[in-house]
Amino acid sequence: MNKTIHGVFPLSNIIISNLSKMYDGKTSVLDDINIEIQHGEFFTLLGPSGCGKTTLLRIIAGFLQQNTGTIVYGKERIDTLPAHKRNIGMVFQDYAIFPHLNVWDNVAFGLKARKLGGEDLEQRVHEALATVRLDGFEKRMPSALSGGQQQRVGIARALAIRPRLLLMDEPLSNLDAKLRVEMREDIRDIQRELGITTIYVTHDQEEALAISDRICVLQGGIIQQVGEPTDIYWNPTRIFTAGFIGTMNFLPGAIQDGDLKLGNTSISLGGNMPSGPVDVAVRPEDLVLGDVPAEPCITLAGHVEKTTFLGREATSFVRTELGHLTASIVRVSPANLARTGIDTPVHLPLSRIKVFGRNGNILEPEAA
Amino acid sequence: MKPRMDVWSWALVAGWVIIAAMLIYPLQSIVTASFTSNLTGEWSLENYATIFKEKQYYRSLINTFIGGFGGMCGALILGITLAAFVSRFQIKGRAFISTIAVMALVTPPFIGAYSWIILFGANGVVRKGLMSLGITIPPIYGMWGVILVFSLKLFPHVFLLTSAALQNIDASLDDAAESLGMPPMQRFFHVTLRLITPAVTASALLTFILSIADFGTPRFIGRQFQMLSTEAYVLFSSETGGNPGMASAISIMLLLISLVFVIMQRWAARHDLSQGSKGRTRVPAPLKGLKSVVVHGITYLIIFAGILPTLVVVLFSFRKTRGPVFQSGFSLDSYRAIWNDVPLALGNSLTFSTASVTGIVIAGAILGYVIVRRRNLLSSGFDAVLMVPYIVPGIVMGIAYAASFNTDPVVLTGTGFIIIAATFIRRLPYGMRAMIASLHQVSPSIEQAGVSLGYHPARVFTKVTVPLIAPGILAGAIMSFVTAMNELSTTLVLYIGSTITMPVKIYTLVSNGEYGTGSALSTILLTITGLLVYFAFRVGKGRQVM
Ligand SMILES: Nc1ncnc2c1ncn2[C@@H]1O[C@H](COP(=O)(O)OP(=O)(O)OP(=O)(O)O)[C@@H](O)[C@H]1O
Ligand SMILES: [Mg+2]
Repeated sequence: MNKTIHGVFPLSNIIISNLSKMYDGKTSVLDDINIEIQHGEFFTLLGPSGCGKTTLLRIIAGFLQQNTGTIVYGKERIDTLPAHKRNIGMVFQDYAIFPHLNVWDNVAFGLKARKLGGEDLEQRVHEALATVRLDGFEKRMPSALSGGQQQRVGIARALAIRPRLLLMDEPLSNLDAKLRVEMREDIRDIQRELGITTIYVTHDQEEALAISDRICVLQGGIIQQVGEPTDIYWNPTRIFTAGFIGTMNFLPGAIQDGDLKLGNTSISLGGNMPSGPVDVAVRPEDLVLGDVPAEPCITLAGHVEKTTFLGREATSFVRTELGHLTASIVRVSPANLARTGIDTPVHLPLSRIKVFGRNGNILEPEAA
Repeated sequence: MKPRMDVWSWALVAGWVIIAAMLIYPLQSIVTASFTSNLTGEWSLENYATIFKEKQYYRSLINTFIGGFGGMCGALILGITLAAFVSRFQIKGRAFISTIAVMALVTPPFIGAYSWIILFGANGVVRKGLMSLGITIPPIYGMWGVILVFSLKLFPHVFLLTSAALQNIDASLDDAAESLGMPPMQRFFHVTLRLITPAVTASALLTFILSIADFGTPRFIGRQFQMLSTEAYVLFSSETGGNPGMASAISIMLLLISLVFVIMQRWAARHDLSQGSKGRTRVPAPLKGLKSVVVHGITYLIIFAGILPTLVVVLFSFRKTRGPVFQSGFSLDSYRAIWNDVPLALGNSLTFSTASVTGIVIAGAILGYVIVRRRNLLSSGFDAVLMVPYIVPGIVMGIAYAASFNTDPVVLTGTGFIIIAATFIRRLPYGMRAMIASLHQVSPSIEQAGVSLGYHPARVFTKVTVPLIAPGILAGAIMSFVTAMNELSTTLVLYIGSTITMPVKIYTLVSNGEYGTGSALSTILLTITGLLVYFAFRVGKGRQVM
């Protein structure tokens, strides 16, 4: 494992503190960003288009100047260094392969900047090309490579300089769906093998869940939540995270006298909560149609409007008095597919629902 | 955090210094001169008042508009007709037509005027031939002659601009108009022409500005019909010491007229007519019978009129002459007669052109880069200021330079450097446009990749950007070189005996009625130009650069 990276740089974390960015001095694009990335971690910035992911990445790379805040690597402050002295590898969405250089020269480019030559250079280029499984392509010109191969060259080129940090801005978004899945596994394997700290940008939540050690959910330039994929999925702390990752049903409710009120039902969540309107969130796979489950539930009267068969699973669209719900049917059978147009109760297991206040924060029952 | 002053910021500062010294300062000095009384040396409007008071000047002012509009209309009619025919119908020899059009753009600018004199002047060959048949036509001199020559000289610009626009029109729009019941001619005027308005107004502006800036044509065949450009030159260079105040005021008038037209064109083209998605392009329709004869006839007549001057020049350079008079039969007399003049003039032309183009390429690449990649107030302002040389007629730039650099602190008059500098600043915008066009083909992330791999941005520029835009730079450089080689009006004001160039030599020969030797020199210049243009197109991108 850990071929070379550790040998060159001591274990060092990246600490981004109080970082903010405004374009033209008015529109705030990043607002008070504080992140600590562990050495060797695969860290993903996830968020909708325009939330500031690229901006943050480019500030780290040194192509943009932040308005306030610092970036520290280990003990060294790096945000004051010019981009070409930061020793940060970058993989670009449009590959950015030098079209006038062949594969070998592309990968050797950064090594020549470091005045490497002879055996050392040869060995490093071969190593990098082998890592991305492109041996034998040395003499090819970029125009004679597929998109996936070009992106591999981009990765090899960034790895060859043995950067202290690897940045990737939606590196797979120009590839077709099948290749995207294949490449993301490759990227993950390479990253694990080299143990190189990586910041990865994507707006594809599935990709983020699949590839990351930790995910940072960004929206409107503000960090919504940082956590491991399972955490982000199962325990969203912000209503935005809940809605952005996976599919989520939201129902309007209220807290009255410490209890949750949903439609006509009022139920205690086992602790006190501040009164006021709330949003109740529940995932499609947690909904139960028909039979009453063993655990405590809120039950709503529903009407199945439509059931869509998706092969491995099916999705039912259920109308309730509080709004529409999407329910996943994991065990698909002709019987439950035929349930379209009938009335059925919908059960929301209490252990699975999340309650968000109007400020978007999760509400947890306080032990009385 | 303060932004760092990097290489590019320094380059931009240097660019502004160049502009201040080589463009703003000279222009400012003629503005000052135009407001200075010749008698008292004090601030006065008398020079401008004189333009409107004295018949000679206000005639020239009116003539400038007549010539400008006349040349513009003629060029538009010929150019658009040609473009419409070539894009609509299956015309034979398209490639030939385009080649001729490009060639016509780069022929020395004054060849047209005196070829028409050879053919239709007082002793013109055609005119005399017709006379011997008993047909008398008036010689070409005067207003109509000037307008005719402008039209024939400038229609290739219109042709190239509008045919590019016509090719981008979605043919479905025309079909839609047809299905709504509109007849063909109406469709052309109401749909097609409206869609290519930006190209048409741009052509109109260009041909108007080139017409009023033209100096050789009214000088050679205007006779009674003089324009502001010729007045400015005469006033500035007259043997009795000249009248710098008047020459400056007239120059400023010319500049203002151009400026007003630039603003009008911007206004006329304010609507974005680009179509969301480009649909089908039109397939040229086949031609049959009489229609084919008519269309081909008109097309080739226009083309023939366009290249006739060039043919005449080449042909007459090989005619036997005795002194300035053509004899029957062919010989190399004319070449022999000028052979001793060639080395100096050609040497100067090549030296000056090489020097100014080298400057244009270096400054254009660096500043073009700054404008594309570093958009801020200072670089956008720079981009805007570089519009100025487009509207400064060559003669005006010459006068401005002569007036600015003939006293302390910087005395340059009479040197080759002043010619190089003036050519540099006049052609820099064109060169820079070519750089900018090719830079837009290079994704910024390619450069960022270079930087993130550890090279200083300046090294990335030379190692990555320059190789990628090299074909564009080379093609742009060749085109700049060709225009520099053919430049007459600025040089004419600035040259002295030892800094004479090919075009100036040709001009003086033709002024003295020595058409044979003039033709021989022109043929040499044409050959060099032709080879360079051919090379520019071989390098690629030449078409984009135009
Ligand atoms: N040069 C600029 N000037 C002004 N605003 C900008 C500039 N570049 C980006 N922005 C704005 O900053 C915000 C964040 O942009 P950014 O490119 O970081 O988004 P992103 O999260 O990478 O989006 P995407 O997923 O679409 O790539 C956007 O609203 C964008 O409009
Ligand atoms: Mg982005």
